[in-house]
Amino acid sequence: MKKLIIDENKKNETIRLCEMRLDTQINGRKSVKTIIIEQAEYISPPFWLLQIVALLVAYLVSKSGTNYDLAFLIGPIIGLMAIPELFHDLQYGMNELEYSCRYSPAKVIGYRIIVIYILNSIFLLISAGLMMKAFSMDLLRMYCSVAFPYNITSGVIVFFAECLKNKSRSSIIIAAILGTVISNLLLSNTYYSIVAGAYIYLWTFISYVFSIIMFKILILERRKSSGIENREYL
Amino acid sequence: MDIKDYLLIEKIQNGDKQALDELIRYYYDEVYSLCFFRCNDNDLAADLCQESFIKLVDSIYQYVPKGKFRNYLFTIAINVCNDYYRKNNRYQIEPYDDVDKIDLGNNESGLTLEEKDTLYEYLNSLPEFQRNVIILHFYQGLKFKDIAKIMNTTESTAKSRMYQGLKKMRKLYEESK
Repeated sequence: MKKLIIDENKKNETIRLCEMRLDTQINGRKSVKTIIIEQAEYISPPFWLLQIVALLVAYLVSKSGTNYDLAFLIGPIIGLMAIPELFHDLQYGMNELEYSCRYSPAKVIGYRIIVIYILNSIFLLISAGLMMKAFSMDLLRMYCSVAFPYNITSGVIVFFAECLKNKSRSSIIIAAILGTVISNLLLSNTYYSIVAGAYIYLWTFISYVFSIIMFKILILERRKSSGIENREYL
Repeated sequence: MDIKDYLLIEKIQNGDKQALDELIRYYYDEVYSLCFFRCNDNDLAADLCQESFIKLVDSIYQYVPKGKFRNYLFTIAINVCNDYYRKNNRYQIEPYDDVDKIDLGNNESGLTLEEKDTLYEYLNSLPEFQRNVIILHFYQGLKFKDIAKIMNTTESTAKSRMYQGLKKMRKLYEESK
């Protein structure tokens, strides 16, 4: 057996090469806070615009002091962009690209849910607070009266997005507006609207999650069959 | 995880080259000897060792301080060695005709030169998974718990692989007598 000789020159060369390599590395690790801020930057202006419109409506409704039924309008307004914002990639057919990114789509959607739903909840709370003052009702009741139409809207949008997956974003939104307004007007924020909203929302959301899982499985299968499952991503 | 390793890695993840220098100097000899016992060639061992450290730097930002850093580094080195042999499709890389250059130094084991050579030859005749366990246990002095982590297997499997390997080596030795 040969003698084990450690060459100091090679050791120094290894250190030099590793240092050079370290310069080319990009720190891909980000804190949750940074990722949330990053995702918040991608929220489109119409989302913010609708939140402001909802606040204006809440202010006008609370000013009128009589038309309490108009409160159900705030939920749909706030909820209108929530789902489209959440599934940007599906609207633009960018799923493939997202699947090749550093963060898994599930993680990205998770962070988007945190951002969008926290923002929506804040606006709903402000709207409910404004009306609580005007109609002297407790905050929880007011919050529910705007939150349930919000759920119906989200459910209807998920439903239409599912049906019109390959169609344009505007067609989904127009269909969703019609669906939301009709369902809200027909049910008029009653007990049935609450049940129907919850039901639609739950089942469409489950179907959405299921389709994402199936999509992921298919992509992974395709990667395995093409032998690129160990690909290193940037 | 050793707190010193943890601090060094944290510094490296923040781009500290001095910490990288320190870490490589600290582990270089161990990784080098691991590669050397796999290939019995100083030049090749240096190359494999270099590649192991480069791979470490490539994955340093993804490294999560969990468990012993030594195990993580040895896993990289073992994989680099395995990849090398798979790519080159050869296991016995050095012929034993260069007797003059052979190690005559430290003889703690009390083995003669011929016995050492024979032992290494037997070791090289073992399958990869048995050879790795024997090298890690006898040459690197690792515990079975750590070997199991490096080899991504259980402690009992690692033990069994080692005993099977030693049994085969003993059989070869008896046959040669």
